[in-house]
Formats: sequence, C-alpha cells, structure tokens
Amino acid sequence: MTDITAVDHSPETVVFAISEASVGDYVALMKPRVMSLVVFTAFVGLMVAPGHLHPVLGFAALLCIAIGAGAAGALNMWFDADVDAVMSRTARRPIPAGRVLRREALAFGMTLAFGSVAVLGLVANWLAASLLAFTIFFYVAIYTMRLKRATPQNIVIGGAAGAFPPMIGWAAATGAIGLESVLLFLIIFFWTPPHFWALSLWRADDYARAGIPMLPVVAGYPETRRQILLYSLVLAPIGASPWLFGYAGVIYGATAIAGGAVMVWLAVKIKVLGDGAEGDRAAKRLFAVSILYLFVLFAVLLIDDRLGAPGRGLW
Amino acid sequence: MTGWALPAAACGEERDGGMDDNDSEKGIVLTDEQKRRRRSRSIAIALALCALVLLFYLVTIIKLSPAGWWRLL
Repeated sequence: MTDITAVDHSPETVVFAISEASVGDYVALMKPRVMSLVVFTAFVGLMVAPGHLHPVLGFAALLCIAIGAGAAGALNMWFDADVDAVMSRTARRPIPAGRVLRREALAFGMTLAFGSVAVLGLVANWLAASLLAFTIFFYVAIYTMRLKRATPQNIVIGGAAGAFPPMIGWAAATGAIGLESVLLFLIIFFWTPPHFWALSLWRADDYARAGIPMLPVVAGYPETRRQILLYSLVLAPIGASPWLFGYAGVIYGATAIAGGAVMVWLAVKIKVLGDGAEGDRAAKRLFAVSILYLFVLFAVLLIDDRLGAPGRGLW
Repeated sequence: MTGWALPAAACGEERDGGMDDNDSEKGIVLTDEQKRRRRSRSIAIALALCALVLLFYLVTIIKLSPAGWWRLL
C-alpha cells in the first residue's frame, strides 16, 4: 500500500500522488458482497464433500478462496476503472472516486492472487490451488479483459468464474473433482444469467453509457426477458439435480423444486408485464429472489447433508 | 488521491540544482487526515501479518502432527 507515488517525472518537477486510501477502500476493492457468496458456496462444497479436513485447514482453505475472490475483484476494478467511472452504480468505487491509484489496485490484487493460490496449495492441495488460479485468471483475463466489452453473452460465459468456488471447496477437501461438485458448478452457472440480466433490465442505460454490450443494450428488452425465462427453465431442474442424482435428500429436493418454480414464475411475470414500472419492479424482485434462491439452495443442501440426507434421489 | 507538484530537488532528484536548503528540508508534508489513514493502513497490515503468522503456525503444527504424518504414509 504505497503512501507516496511519483506519477510524473520531468527535469523541473516531480509530481506525487499521496495515498488517501482508507482500510475500507482496500476492503471495497475486494468486492465483499460478491466475496460473501463465494465463501458461502465454497463452504458448502467443502462441507458436503466426502472425507475429512481438519477444521483449521478447512478454515485456511476458505480464507484462501475468499482472498482469491477478493484478488479477482481488485484486478477487475483495476482494469475496469474507466467503465466504473461512467456508471452510476460503480462511480463511487475507490479508483474512480480517486482514493486508490490503479497501480495500487493492481499491486494489491496481484499480491493477493499469488498469495492465496500459493497458501491454498500448501494448506490443502494443488488441485484446489490450480482451480483457484484458473478462476482468478478466467474472471480477470477472460471475462473482464475480453468478454465483458465484446459480447452480450459476457455474463453467461463469465459466470463460470463465479461457479467454481464450491468445486474448489470440494477439491480442497477431497483432492478430486466429483460429479456432485460439477452439479453445484452448473447450478451457479445457470443461475448467473437470470440474476444479472434481471439487474441489467433496470440498469441498461448505465451499461449503454459505459459501452458495455449487455443483452438489453444489444438485443433489446423483450429478447432479454425471453432469455431470462429460458435460463430459469433450465435452472429449475438443474437446481434439483443433486437430489435427482441421489446426492441430496428429499428436504433438498422439495426446496429446489419450490425455489425453481418461484424463479420460473417471476421470469414469466417479467415477460408478461413487459416495459414500465411494474416490469421494473418484477425485475428487481427476481434479482433479489435469485440471491435468496441460491443462498437457500446451498444452505438446505448443507443442512440436508448434516441430517444424513434422508430420501436420496428418485432412483 | 492528492497530487503534489514539488521541485525535483526537494526529493533529491536534482542534487546540484538551484534550490535553497529550506525547500529541500521542507519536503512533502502530509495532512492530519493523510497521516491518520496511513496509520490505519499500517495497523491493518500489522494485524494481517500477525494473523498469517498464527495461521501458518497452526497449519504447520497440524500438518506435522502424528496424524498428519500418518496420512502421508
């Protein structure tokens, strides 16, 4: 965390930028709200995995995954500072607000990225560390630097980065990648499009101003609503798949079916209501409910597992 | 972030320039707020390092414990 940084050098003057960043600014660089969902899904992946990991090692592994996610967030803010500055949702972030220099965010993010991967490899295993490294690389180099500004499918493909944490948690506990961890990956992967497109429905102007080709900006609102419904229809059965494949019990199965039905119902409502205040309200409701859906799904999976998963699967 | 433009000599960049001694000695003066934030950052780094030392100590003990050795065999 640099205190004083030379930002210009000439024979006559040296212009310095003095850091006014608070600790909170560095915390904000790590996107703590995103991090909390990452930690929670990774925790569930680690807990439901077969085998035993010492609690301290499990805590250390989760800390590494959290720090790795924070590193990806900091590097995202480093690269996207120009875009963040013109969007009302992100204009108050530390870099566009002028409290943290881009190079400080880059150094901070790279330090956390290499540190978290190395420590996870030493604490848990190198498969988990490799998955964490790939997740950070995918989020920063593939999503942030390429997809985000290039295609309306940015959050579909980029959503993979947010889907890896339960798989990393699973790999940290077992040293392998099981089918169940792949199902957890798929749940988050197919959850991401309806979640972010619901947000983009009432933030489209922001994205358009920043030149980000989000689906409503490029393909229009009706197509976005149609895609939200399609992905919700795919998400509902995938959400129930851990029960269908016999990895979870009937409590999880019932919760997943009910949650999936609510997601589809809200997606239908968005499509029917169309433009206007009612439509915006429905989109905001889907955005909020989608967060609750994912949280409840993973929480019930954990509870179900602790109870011994009574009534596993259909076959 | 606050930008400060200073004569190069004030930060030792131009040692044989025309600056007088007062300018050289003055250097960069931080405001109270900047000092407060620097202090809070320093404390946060110190706490993070202490937490890491404790974590590495615990992980080492667990990894080197007989149960840990047993698992390696």
